[in-house]
Amino acid sequence: MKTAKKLTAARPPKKFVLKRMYKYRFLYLLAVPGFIYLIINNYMPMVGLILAFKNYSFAKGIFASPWCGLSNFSYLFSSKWAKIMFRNTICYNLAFIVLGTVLAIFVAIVLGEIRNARAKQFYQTVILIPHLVSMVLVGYLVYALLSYSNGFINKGILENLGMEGINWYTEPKYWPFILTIVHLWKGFGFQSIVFYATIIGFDKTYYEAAVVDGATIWQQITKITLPLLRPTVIMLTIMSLGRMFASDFGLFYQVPMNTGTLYTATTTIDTFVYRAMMEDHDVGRSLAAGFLQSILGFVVVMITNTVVRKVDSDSALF
Amino acid sequence: MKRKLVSVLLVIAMAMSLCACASSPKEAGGSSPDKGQESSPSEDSNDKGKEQAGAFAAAGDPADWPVIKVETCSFTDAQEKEAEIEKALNEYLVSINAGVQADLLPITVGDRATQLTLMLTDTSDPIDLFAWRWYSSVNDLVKNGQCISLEKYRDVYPELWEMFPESVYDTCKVNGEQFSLPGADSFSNFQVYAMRKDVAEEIGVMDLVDTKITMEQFNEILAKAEAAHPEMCWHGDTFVKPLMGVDNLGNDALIGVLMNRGVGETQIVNYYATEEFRNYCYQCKEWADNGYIVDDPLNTNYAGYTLMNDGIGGGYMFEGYSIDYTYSLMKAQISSYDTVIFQLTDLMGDNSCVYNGWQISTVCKNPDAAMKLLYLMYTDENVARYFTLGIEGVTYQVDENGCAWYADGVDVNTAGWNMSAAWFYPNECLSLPFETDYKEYFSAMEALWSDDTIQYSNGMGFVFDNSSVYDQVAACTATVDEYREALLMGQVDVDSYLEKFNAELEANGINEIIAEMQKQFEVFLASK
Repeated sequence: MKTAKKLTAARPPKKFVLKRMYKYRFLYLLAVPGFIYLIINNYMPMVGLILAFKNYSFAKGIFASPWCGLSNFSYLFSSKWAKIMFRNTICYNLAFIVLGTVLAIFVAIVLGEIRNARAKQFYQTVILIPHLVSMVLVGYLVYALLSYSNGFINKGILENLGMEGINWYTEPKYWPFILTIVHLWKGFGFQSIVFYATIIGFDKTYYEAAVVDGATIWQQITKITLPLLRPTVIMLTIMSLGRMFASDFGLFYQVPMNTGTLYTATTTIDTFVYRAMMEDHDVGRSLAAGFLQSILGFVVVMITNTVVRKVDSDSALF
Repeated sequence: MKRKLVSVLLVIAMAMSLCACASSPKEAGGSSPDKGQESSPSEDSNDKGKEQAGAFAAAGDPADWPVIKVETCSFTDAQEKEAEIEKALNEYLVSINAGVQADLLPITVGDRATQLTLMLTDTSDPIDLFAWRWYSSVNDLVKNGQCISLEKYRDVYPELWEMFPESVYDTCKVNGEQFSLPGADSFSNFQVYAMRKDVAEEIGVMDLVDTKITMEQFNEILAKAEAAHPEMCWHGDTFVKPLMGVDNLGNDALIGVLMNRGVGETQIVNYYATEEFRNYCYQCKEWADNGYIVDDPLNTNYAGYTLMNDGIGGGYMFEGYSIDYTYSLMKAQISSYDTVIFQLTDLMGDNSCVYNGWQISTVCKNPDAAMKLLYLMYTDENVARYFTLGIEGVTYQVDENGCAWYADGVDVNTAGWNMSAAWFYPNECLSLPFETDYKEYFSAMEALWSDDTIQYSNGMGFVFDNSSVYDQVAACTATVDEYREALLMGQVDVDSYLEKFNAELEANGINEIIAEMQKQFEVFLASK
């Protein structure tokens, strides 16, 4: 088995590669615009990352601006906000990855068990709708629920229960839960469709054989579906980990309506940098945060992939 | 074969669209009026400052004159008359042999920060003249290399340095060098409270109208109004600097201020640790507890005039330089109700009264031409009025008192030009009072510039260079954003919240900032 793997993994001769490229030349040609797009949009802007180490002058431009060492990074770590924004960014992302994945898999499996085709289409459409709603609108939907004076939670529920209304927008302690719920509500539809698309691609004979052997639905899920889903889950998780230090700006800025009293619960690296940059438009400091996010995300992906490769090399991304 | 052909065609189509994306607006058919601009855009502002400037002379065919891109103020995207106004303005510039033409660029206020930041890096189609209001401060513009020094033009256009009180010019200097020219304004103001006239009549306080009232009287008025109309709120924004009694020294986070609006003061203090701020917070809390402040103030647009126009608010605080001026302003802002004014503080001038300034960008390829146009915007009333009012007979008409009104058949929705922001431009006093019959609107403002009775802050013109404490300023500003609004809207317990607020400010280095400010301020005072 080990030998076979090694043979599979062995690098093909250069001549063979060229021959194969020639054979599929039109497919490669088709990919050229995509590659060009990728280079222009994803790689060429990387040159701008040097601004993280420069005292950027609008007059001098990227290359002529003077170097400034690591001073652009200092403001990120100069106050209590460093701890808060890193804590929030990482903890929210971990919660989103774990809870989002579990919920999406659950919904995907449930979708897979629905036999009525029309009902299935209807549910798929309905769960996808939140994904399409703008975060600004989501912010107002949340406000309609949480407004102290007129919100549904206070007026429609708590008041009817004889309880005092809560001033949601002055109490940061509630917001980790609110933001997580909003994120899950908005994202689970899209994610579950991805998992569902994987599930319907599984070989049906596994399930038929399991039924013949007397397996229950639960056993089919735990013994067939989940193990087969594992590579997809790992791949999506690794990709999510790559964005571990980035955050959904709309979720953390628009949904709490940039309310100052909630900053301890809603400040992530992105919102802190945005607010700081809106004050003085310092490009270098803004890029320093972006640079840090990218590097830390890259490191996390590499570490995770290395661990996955050691545990189960087939599931590793590369 | 067919598939191959399709794939090749697809590749060509996508490659062409990518090329089209990469081409400049000019190449793509956009109009880029940057002809006649030759110097390198990446020159350092200081290098430019060292050049000798001469009077800008018109040369040759007007078609070859440099075209200066200048921003105009817009609150909506509906600026249909822009091309027509630009054409008329340029015809006028040709008629006076100005040697420069203008390319008007309406930028909507909501997009302004992003748009300007991008445009100030664009060397292929640069913006030449822009204002700092709602965008940045002169200090930050200079720090980021976004504007050039205007010192070399001091001898060329000396009139531009003789229009306003000297200390006003100082607010637009960095390290003694003029980088921006202040926009004309009153440079002094007092706090007023505007209330719906029908309410004031109903609660019997008309005898106090147009007079200066005490805080006790003010609170009595509010109490009566609330008793008569509990369904309304009586405040918009409570972040009102004249009433709070501070000179913000150019920083609305109020990190280091002079008390008493800077009059007679030489000590910079942490405002948030003062008894004055604590008392003001108590006052705001009382207002909130009594129901004077709008519901959900942390999530509501609490611009007072919006609340009043919507029938939610019965009054709000704002600033003005004279009672007549404030009435005129109310007419422009409040369309649904007549209002009356109560004066809350005395007329004083401080740094917060300098609202705007104009400068030349570092991406400008012809600063001499840009300065010429800026000069005309400050000194030529025809040029100024194209910006502030558009075209006479088309967008506005003038009555026998010299006041401007919408032209016949034209209103705010059909004007196609923003005529309600004369204050955005370099010299609004060259414009005409608009939609008001208060004909001294601008002349009274201008008279203040030479009024020796007005008390000014000792800090007028002080510009703090925060580069040595930048990290502390960023951290403290974030802390202020976190705590202040809830305190000023009366949404939290004052004592406990204020204690936490100040502890965090101190932890984030506010004392270091103030020490550095004080050091620089003493140098500033010594130089006066």
